[in-house]
This record gives sequence, structure tokens and C-alpha cells, in this order.
Amino acid sequence: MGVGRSGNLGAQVAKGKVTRHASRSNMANCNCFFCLPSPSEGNSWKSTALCLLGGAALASASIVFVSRIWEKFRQKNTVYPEDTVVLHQFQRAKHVPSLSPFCLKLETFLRMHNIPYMTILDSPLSSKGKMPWIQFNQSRVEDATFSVMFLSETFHIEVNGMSGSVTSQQKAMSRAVVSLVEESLYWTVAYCRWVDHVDQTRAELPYDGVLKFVVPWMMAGIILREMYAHGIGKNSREELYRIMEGDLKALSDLLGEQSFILGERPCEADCSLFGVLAQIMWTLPGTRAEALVKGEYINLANYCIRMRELFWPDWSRIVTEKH
Amino acid sequence: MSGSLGDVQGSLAALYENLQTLVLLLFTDPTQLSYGQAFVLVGVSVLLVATVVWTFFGRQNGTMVFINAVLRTFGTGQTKTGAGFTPGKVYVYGPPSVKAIPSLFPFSMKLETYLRMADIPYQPVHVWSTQGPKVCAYTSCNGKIPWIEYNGEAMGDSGLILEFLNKEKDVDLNQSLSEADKAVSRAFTKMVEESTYWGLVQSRYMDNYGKLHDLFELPWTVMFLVRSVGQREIRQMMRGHGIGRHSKEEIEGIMEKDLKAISSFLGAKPYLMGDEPTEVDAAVFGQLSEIVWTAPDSYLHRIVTVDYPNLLVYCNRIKDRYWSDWDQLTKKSKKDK
Repeated sequence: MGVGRSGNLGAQVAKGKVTRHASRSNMANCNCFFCLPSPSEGNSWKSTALCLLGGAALASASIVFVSRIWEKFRQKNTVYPEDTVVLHQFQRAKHVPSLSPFCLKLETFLRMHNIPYMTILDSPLSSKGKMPWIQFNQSRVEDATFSVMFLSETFHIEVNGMSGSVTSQQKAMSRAVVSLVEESLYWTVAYCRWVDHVDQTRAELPYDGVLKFVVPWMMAGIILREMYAHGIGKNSREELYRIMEGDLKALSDLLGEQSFILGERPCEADCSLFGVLAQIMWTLPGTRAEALVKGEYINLANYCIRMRELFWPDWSRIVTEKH
Repeated sequence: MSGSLGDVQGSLAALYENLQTLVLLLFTDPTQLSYGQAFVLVGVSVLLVATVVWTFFGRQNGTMVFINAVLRTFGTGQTKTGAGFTPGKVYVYGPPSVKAIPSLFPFSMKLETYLRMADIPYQPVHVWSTQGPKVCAYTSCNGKIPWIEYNGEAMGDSGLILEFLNKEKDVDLNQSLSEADKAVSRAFTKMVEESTYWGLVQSRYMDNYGKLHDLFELPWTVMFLVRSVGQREIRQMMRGHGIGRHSKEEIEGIMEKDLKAISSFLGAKPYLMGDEPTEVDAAVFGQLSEIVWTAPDSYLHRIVTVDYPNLLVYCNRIKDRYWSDWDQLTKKSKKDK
């Protein structure tokens, strides 16, 4: 810049002597970064680099844009069989049918009530940017909770999945247990998986190559941000594990010797619970969460195995890691 | 094309050159600076500082830090910094009482109700800020209202405070409950604080935005700042939580189901877990009291008074038993009902 060349620039400015860069004749002599020669003036590496960068950015943006449009177009024009629930979710994982507790919850619910369904794996996200979501004939429902409500109405299932007489007290308890699992335990497990034990999680992911690193890195950021907004993220690591332990203890005490969380009949709360517990049982080896579930609260582990045998007899065929 | 590009380059370079000369002038001969130039320099440095603050504290926190700073300057009440506290006494920091309710924050109501149920004497200190009086690291203070000071130490998060005070003061409101009952208790506490709470937030800060001024009773200049920045913050928080992605009708549906669950579980019992109040009653009352007394004319109020009236009866029962000084605290005028 001009500073190097003229020592007392300040004095020169004060005397009104130094002129600005706006005039093009000055620019020709200037060596500063801003004075890029125009492309017609010869092969400056800066201008070529800028052109290449711009071109690459434009090309990748258009590829992503076009593929998105194409995907949406294909989705719209695909005709699904009638009276079959189309479940959109993530890919199958190595040790569990889905790494997302909500996808697993919804699919378990469908199996629990023998609702005919088909899965679309690796589907685009719903309009809210979440997974899972379902289509049924002409309806489209997002979010696992609303999907369960919709299915309960459409297929005339007792709201919390228990057929026969169920007291309003039990229905209320079912809702409270779902809150405990989905609003509290879920976040502590997500923290354990994506922030605390991200190396083990990487091995569980069904991706290869670059995605194996990009996805956990993105997820950690998203999870931490969401947890902070939720409020639970303001706790320290130790406090989060204390909350996890408290929640697992409460669930274990509630389950006791029963077959299902609220008695001898399964309900929506069981689907939620299984969705999260399955992650602890089979995708978090060597973590404190697994130690708690398979140790002190072993009735939860037995419950998990029971749910798997009841509703997922084809488990070993569905998970990608064959023994 | 090259002509306009050249002009842009030229003017950018000119700007840079100008700034450079100004900074040089500042250091060599500041008296030569005109007012306009000084103004530009101040503007640029403020921008730089703001960018640094924004980068370090993050988009969410930066705004909250700002709001906290504003509220703290306008807040009332003396804080017990350093010496001057009575050992063994619980100082509860929270917002001042308003006409509608002793505390506008549901977790404050929960904490104070718990202290009254457990017969732990406490002194309320009315501030609006969410951080401790001392310079505590942002995360360890949890940035939540209410927070307490005990023996000179600050502590946030009502759940953690309850655990701590239970141990410290040898209190157990849940002692008559079986393990399974305690589990149910925990489940309902979580539901009311993680699910129902957000419906209240949505109703108060989003749907009934216009009534905030009357509710909060802050000077209107402060209110203006809080309202214009606060709503965006809350929307971001709700989106981060997940509930912000639902439509208004879906949130109302969730609230209806939550309140129905509480009502069904309560039934005809005097308190949620039986004949005597337990910790979950403090938590549920904390949230429901806000609905009953600070949200008139909202759908939430209708649900609690018309659809499931046992909830209104339950709230009044707790208010009469543990908040006999309610009218004194809220300084109700004679014409209020």
C-alpha cells in the first residue's frame, strides 16, 4: 500500500496532497491487493483463481439444486399402494433397525398393531426437516408423535395403543412416561452418542468415506445447539449423566416385574422407551449408559430383549451387520 | 463489465485508504480530526467490538447477554455480594411480583412453593438478571431464573436447587412414596416442565404479545427492547427445542393432551400423589398457576377452568394453603376480582 512508499502519509493527507485510488491512472501503478488487473490484461493468477472458485461454487450449487428438484418430482409422481402406510426414514444401521429413536418408535408402533406398511429408506427429510414422516393414501403426516395420533385415529386404536379397558389414569401415566423418555432421557443419550462417544458412534454409522466424519461433526453441533435451546444443554456433563441415571432408575422402578411399562399390555410408551433403550443396548458399547441398563437396571435390558423378540423377529435380517 | 468492476475495486480501495488515513491521523495528530471523521472511527470500532462479542458468545447468547445487561441496569433490589449474608439462609433471586401473580416465571413459583411446603424460610431478592452476582462462568450458573444464593454461593436450575436443599436441610417431601410412585412423579414433572411449559411460552410471548407490557409492569423503554429482541430469541429457542417447528394448532393439541393427562391422573384426589402434597405438586402448580392467573382469555385458561375444572380447584387449594400472603404480595387493588 501507499504506506510503505511514503513515510509521513498523515502529513500528506493533512496537506491534501495524496489522491485516492478511484482514478484509474493511479491503479495501474498500485501493487495493493484490491487493484486486481482485469482479466483482459493478462494472466494474473488471482483472477484465474477467482474465476475457477466462482465456477466451482456455481456448478456445485446447481447440481445440488437440480438433484433436489428431481428428487421432489420423483417423489410426487411415485404411486404407492393403497391403504399402506409409507414410512420414510433413515438407512438401516449395523446393530439396530434405525439409529433414530423416533424412527424406531414409529416402526415398532406399526408392527405392534399389525398396520400394513412399507419403508422408504434414505428418504428426503419432511418439510419440518425431520425424520420420520409417513404417507397414507392422500395424507402426509410429519413427526412421530403426530403420526401415532393419526394412525390411532385412522385404524381405531385406543389412543395409547392399549385395546380393551384402560383407565384414564393409565392413559395419563402413559403420556407422562413418553415425556420422560422423549424430552429428557433422549437428550442425555443423544449427548452420550454424538458428543461424548463420537468415535464409537462413527463405527456404527452406515456411511463410508468422508461422510463418516462430516455427519458426526454436524450432528454434534446440531445436538448441542438444540440441547442448549431446550434448556437441558445448560447442564454440565456430570449433571447430564445424573439426569440419565435418574430417568433410567425411574423407568426401571416403574417397570418392576411387569412385562410392559404400564402393565401386561403394550402401549405407545413402550414404543418410545424401546426406541431409546435399543440405542443404549446395541449402539453404545462401553458407555455409562450401557453399563446402567445392563447392570443396575437389568430389568430394562430384559424388557428390551423381550420387545425385540415380540415385535422384531426379523431383526437379524434387517440390521446390516450379519453375524 | 470490467468498467464497473474497476469502479467497485476503486471505491473499495478508496474506502480502505480513507480508513487508514483516519487511523493514522488519530495516532499522529488527533486534534486534526473533524467531527465526521471521529464519528466514522467510533462507528467502525463499535462494529469491530460487536463482531468480536457476537463471535465469542454465539448468535443466541450474544443477544441474551445484551438483554441481561439491560435488565440488570434497570433491575431493582440489592444483591448479597460477598459479606452481608446470613449463613444458612436461602436468598431467592427472581423477578418482582406483579399484580397478576407473585412471580411471572413458572420455575420461580415452583421453587417458592417447594420452600413453603418444606417450611424452609427464605428471603426473596427481586432482580431481573439471570446471572449470579459474582462473576460465575456462564455455563455453571445455568443462566436460568430463579437462582439462589446460599452461604455466599450462587446456584441455578430449580431441579438442582431442590436436590441441593433436600440434602442440606434434610427435607424429603417424597418420603411417603413408593419407588414406582416416585418414578411416576418424575415422569409428570418432566412432562409439565419440558412439554407443557413451552405451550405456555408460546401463548404468552407469541400469541398474546400485546399483553406483555401490562403483565410485566416494566418501564416501557425496557419493555420495548425486551420485546423486540426477546421474541426472536424465543422463536429460536423453540425451534431448537423442536416444538417450534409445529404449527400453532399442533402446539394447542399437545397442550390439551398434557393438561388432560394431569387432570385424569389427579382425578378427585386432593394432590397428585394422594392426600399430601409432594414435590411434583410444586412443579405442576408452578406451571398451572401461570396459566390460571396470568393468561386470562387464552385457550389455556379455558382448558383449565372449563374443560378440566379439577385443575382450577387444585390450584386454588395449593394457593390457599401455601400462599396465604398472595394478596399482600401482589398488592391487589380493591377492584380486582
